[in-house]
Amino acid sequence: MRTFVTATAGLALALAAAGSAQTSADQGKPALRAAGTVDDAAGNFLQDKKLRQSEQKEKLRAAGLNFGEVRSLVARFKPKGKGGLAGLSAQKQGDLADTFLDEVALELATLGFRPGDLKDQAQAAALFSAASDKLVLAADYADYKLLSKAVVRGKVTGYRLPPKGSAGGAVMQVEVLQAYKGEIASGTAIEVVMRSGQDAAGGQLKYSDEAIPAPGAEVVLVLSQVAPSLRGGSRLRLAADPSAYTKLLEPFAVEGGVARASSPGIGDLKLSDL
Amino acid sequence: MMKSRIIGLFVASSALLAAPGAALAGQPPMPNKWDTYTREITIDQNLPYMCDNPFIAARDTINQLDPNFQIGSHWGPFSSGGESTLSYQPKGYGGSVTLATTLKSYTGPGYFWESYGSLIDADIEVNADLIYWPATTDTMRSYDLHCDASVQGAMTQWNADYQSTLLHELGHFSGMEHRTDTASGACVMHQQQARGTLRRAFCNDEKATFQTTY
Repeated sequence: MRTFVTATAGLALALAAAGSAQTSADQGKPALRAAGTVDDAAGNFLQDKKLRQSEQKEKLRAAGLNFGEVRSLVARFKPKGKGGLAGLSAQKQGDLADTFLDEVALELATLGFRPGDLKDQAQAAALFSAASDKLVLAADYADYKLLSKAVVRGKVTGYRLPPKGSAGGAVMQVEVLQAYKGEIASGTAIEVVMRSGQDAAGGQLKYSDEAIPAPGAEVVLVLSQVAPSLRGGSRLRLAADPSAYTKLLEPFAVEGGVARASSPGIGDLKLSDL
Repeated sequence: MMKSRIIGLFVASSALLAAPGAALAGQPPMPNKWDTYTREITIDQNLPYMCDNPFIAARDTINQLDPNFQIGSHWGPFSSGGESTLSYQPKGYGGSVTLATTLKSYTGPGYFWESYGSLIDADIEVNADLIYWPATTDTMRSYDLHCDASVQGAMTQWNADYQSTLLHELGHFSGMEHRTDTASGACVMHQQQARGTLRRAFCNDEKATFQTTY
């Protein structure tokens, strides 16, 4: 029976294990790291998060978008992230709140919402709430629909992969059967950017949370149109076609009159409720 | 209206979990497998300290399934290639978001939408935005991943168990796919993890699939 080393014993082991040392199941029990504080963990999180945010802000700036104005509009609504964390310094609490505000603004700006879209108070409040809920997986279908450019039912016709010998994301090809939001006419062929794809050696790379329906499957898609230069979320280079859509949710599988969800926190829906 | 329907779904899912260990049909054959039977995962040093023990518990659950397949681990800086990693990746900015995901690289026959072949690399990414730090008044709407304690508690119906999430991802890491049955239940490899539920052990058909493969 396995037992875990204590945090105290783990300190010595972790120090000994620093650098290239490894523990394996064959070699016995793993070393725990030295126990750190909540404040330390939050500091690591903030460091990573701010780096990611600064990269996205730079992308927005390079694309000529005024992120500062979007942020100031979002700030008026004081979106609330994590609050009242025990063991966390006031400084870190404040940093987390600021970081969450940035996150909501970055989400909206990346999705294509501009300061002009946020002037209407009621519309802006609904969008801020939806973006905030999306980030903490509390958004429902109505939130995603609000944030989306289009919601369609369609048939998967195939996939387009990068040329042989090059690494990159795949593109799902879909024939639209019906639009529930947006101006896409039925019969239109659209392309949807995938995070999964192939490596340079021709191997397949797949994200386990990405649904990849087989050709012929009928799906419901909640789509956005994020500029290619702003796309992220994959280790692969993603398709650069500006007309290609991105998924706000993983495809729903259509079974009879029901759209079966495959994204966390989203329930199945009747097609008539879309 | 919509939100209350979703909450209802989670409550129903929790009720189904009252019979732990029940085997449900739907675990497909493992389409991917490692040709070498020991794997080492580098755990990103930036993961919160309180997340270490749940990882070890999940890893040991895999290692107890079959002596022929063992996962070892050590802590180190995040590396984006060449070795398997468990890292801490903020998600968002336009696309879909999730609790955690496993990026698998493999070679083999089959179309893009199929999955057969030998694994070359597998990396687990945890959504850093959803880590729940010890707190008493965190927002109740959150789907946060509990690292430091069981999800059973005041926020039972609102939070996700980190150990259960990692066991699911380690199932993918080992070669498993999602279950094909849509009903939620006691098994680990369902596509969705209902909030407030523990899935810290594989059910019988998942164990059998694993043991047949390795």
